[in-house]
Amino acid sequence: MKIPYEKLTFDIVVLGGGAAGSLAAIRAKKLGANVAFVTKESALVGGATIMAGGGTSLTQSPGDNGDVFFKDIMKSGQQINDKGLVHMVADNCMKAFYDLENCDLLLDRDNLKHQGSASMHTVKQGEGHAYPRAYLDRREALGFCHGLAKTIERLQIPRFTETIAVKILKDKDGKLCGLICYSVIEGKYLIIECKALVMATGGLGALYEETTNSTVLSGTGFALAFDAGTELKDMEMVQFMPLCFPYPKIRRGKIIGMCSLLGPSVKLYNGLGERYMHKYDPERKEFTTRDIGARGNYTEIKEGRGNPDGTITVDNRGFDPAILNRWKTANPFRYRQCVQTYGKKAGNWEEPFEAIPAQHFFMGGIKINTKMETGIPGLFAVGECTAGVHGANRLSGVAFAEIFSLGPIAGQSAFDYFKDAQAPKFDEKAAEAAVKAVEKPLERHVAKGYRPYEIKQMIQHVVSMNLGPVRVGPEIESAIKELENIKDNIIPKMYVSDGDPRYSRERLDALEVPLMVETALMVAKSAAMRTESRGSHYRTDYPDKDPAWLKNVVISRGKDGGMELRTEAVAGEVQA
Amino acid sequence: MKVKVNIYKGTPDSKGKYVTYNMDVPATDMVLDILEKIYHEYDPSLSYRYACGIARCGECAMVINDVPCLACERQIEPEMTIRPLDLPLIKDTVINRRQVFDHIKEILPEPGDIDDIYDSFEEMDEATSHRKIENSIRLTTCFECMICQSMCPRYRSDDQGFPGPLGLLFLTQMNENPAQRPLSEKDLDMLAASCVGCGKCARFCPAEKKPLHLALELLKHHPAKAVTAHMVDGKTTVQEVDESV
Ligand SMILES: Cc1cc2nc3c(=O)[nH]c(=O)nc-3n(C[C@H](O)[C@H](O)[C@H](O)COP(=O)(O)OP(=O)(O)OC[C@H]3O[C@@H](n4cnc5c(N)ncnc54)[C@H](O)[C@@H]3O)c2cc1C
Ligand code: SF4
Ligand code: SF4
Ligand code: FES
Repeated sequence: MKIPYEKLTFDIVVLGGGAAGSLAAIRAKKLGANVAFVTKESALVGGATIMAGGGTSLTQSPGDNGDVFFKDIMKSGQQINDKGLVHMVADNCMKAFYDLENCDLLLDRDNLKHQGSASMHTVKQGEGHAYPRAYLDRREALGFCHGLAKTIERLQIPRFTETIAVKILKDKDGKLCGLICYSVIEGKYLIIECKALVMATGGLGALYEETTNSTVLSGTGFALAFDAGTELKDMEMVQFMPLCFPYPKIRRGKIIGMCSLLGPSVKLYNGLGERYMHKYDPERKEFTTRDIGARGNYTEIKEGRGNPDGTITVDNRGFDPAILNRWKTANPFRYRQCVQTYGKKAGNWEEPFEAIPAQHFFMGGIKINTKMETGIPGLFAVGECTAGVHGANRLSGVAFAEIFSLGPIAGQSAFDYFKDAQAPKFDEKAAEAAVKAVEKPLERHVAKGYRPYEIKQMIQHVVSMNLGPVRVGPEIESAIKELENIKDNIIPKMYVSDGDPRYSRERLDALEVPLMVETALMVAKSAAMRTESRGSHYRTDYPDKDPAWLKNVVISRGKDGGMELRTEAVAGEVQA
Repeated sequence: MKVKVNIYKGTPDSKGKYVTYNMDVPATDMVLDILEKIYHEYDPSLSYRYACGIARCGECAMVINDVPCLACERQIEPEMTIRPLDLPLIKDTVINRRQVFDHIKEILPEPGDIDDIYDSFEEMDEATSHRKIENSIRLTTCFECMICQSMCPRYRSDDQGFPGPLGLLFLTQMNENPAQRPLSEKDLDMLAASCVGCGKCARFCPAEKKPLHLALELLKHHPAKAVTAHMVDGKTTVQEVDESV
């Protein structure tokens, strides 16, 4: 089968259509660059952004300010965050948030008056926040998505939807010069020449069997960046959500939330009918932080004390009706799914329901500086695909504060670079060869091989079993071995049986698999290196925090293309 | 649970057919689970689209037993016939969403007036009203699933004018947002000329707050022009904005 390709040229390409990418593209386009968008899904604004609760942490309460917010983010991140980036988020989140109203978006205000909020928008105090900071939205995150999408459409920014990037191209001098994508809808490759590329590829939830993330977020961006030669940081830092749906299959791992959202009456029980959270957090019990909550639920299930179907039970009878009301109003979609999954009674907390923990957010990623530069001229990164803002654990609502604050800056930096940079030397022959190299495994015919989805499931299984909220040395080591085995022995036997390239899920899976395994390996190797417990990274063989580990694990690409790991001092000066 | 699934297979340039599968699946499965199972175990070439799995992104909309709905939240039934929405087809259950979006894009007002109109939240607050906020919130709870678009007898993506109900919704969203200019006479003329007000589009909208009902209602009462007399058919009642939601 001969798969065609098309050659395109733009000034700047933004990879990823969540809020981070959207804001970067809007800024660069408004400044005058010829910008294009590449995203894996079809939604106008998608990624984790469209799935989110929309809660945004802002320094909006009287007495609160950037310095206090900074301290909270650093504390939650256990001091390995990049201080410069944290300051940018903490100091600029309010202004960046207001600026959204210039993007065809009307923010929610005046809602939830019964909560007694004096301000126009909703203020709710979350775990780990010194002040009430949460802006909540009755549309969850859909409002943001609608607004940004309209602005992008009106600015006539061309969008290559359902198109996956499979390789980043550099010229002879090491400058970024383009990328190779595969258009799933059209069944063809795109060779895109550009001067600057902004990566906003989001997280890696779909590396796990259970995740709150969408299926498109399989972590391919990290492998692309690694292949291009960027450094990656904190790849061991994966956040898990305590309460998620156990079924139906397609909804498994999708978010319900954490106990604090359900009010003070909520109790968790294991399959033996015992309450257990006091074992993990004697003081706060159910109202502990996300990481400990997820760890507790995970441990009960893993050690065989879960319900027979591998779940724990959430009992919220005796709830305060006002809290149920707030839950319905501020999380309308989650409420709808609870009713659908558990029935009306349990959906309204009149009966207990089952839940599991699941992967939720990724703190690690591409290493950037405060200009969103990656170290490769012309390559920028922003959003969940980057490391630095959240350190070892993310506070609620700070992902949105991050992408709203930093998204536009990535667009600005990419524009500034593009304006001054000498055109890279694009080599079309080399690009063609790269397309051939990507396509070759998809044309393989093997007698006894593996279908791409099977390998995907193998990777997800290894990652879930060994790199979850509770880790231990030998399991991490076995994950590395198994992933290397998949890479060396299984992927070479992958074959595509779907003969029609048009909207072929199998071709899409086949393109993702080699990238997914690279990313999974980075997570495993970083987890093996950090011999302590900090934030979301918890090891039973090293259960304590070790002051000597007040540093970051960084991965870079060695001369032979292999992964080289080292530790590095925490970035950024503390500003007085 | 034993289920029998008839699923549409076809491309624009081939004569489509239904393929039947009998299988045993957990009773808690959603229709999207069935599609995954077919792709994994029976037909590697099955095309279906989804992303979020939680009724948010609108990508998995298809017609199941003659009802357009989201496959990720549609419970299975003993016998199911699954086909794509009535919009330009790519393959099997996958329609050409990009073409529909591109078409709608044509009618969105040009930018230029969207740059930094308001410097602060407070300034914006002064320019808006409680009513506008409530309307705007409700109008932007749409999943962009295109079910409405597929139901409209007047929408054709090769027709240069009418952007269909989803386009109509987009225009109304902008109209209700104080940072935007109100709908122009030109937009209204175009909508009035094309939409017959049958309300078919709103009938299967999966968004709880029924954004399209409101959009049609607002257009009907638009001071500049009533679109048509019978905006909504007997089956779809237009709800007033519910302040308590
Ligand atoms: C269920 C859920 C609820 C959440 N709730 C909150 C909340 O209430 N508050 C909060 O602050 N945060 C929340 N978060 C986290 C927050 O949503 C994300 O961190 C944030 O949206 C990430 O935005 P982003 O733009 O960086 O990436 P995303 O929005 O994830 O976008 C990534 C984009 O990259 C594209 N992409 C990836 N790889 C490729 C590739 N190889 N080629 C082409 N395109 C690619 C994807 O298609 C997608 O468009 C939540 C997350 C989830 C999953
Ligand atoms: S009311 Fe009827 S004609 Fe008008 S947009 Fe809806 S379906 Fe189309
Ligand atoms: S208005 Fe309703 S039917 Fe139309 S796209 Fe939005 S959610 Fe779907
Ligand atoms: S998969 Fe997103 S709405 Fe069904």
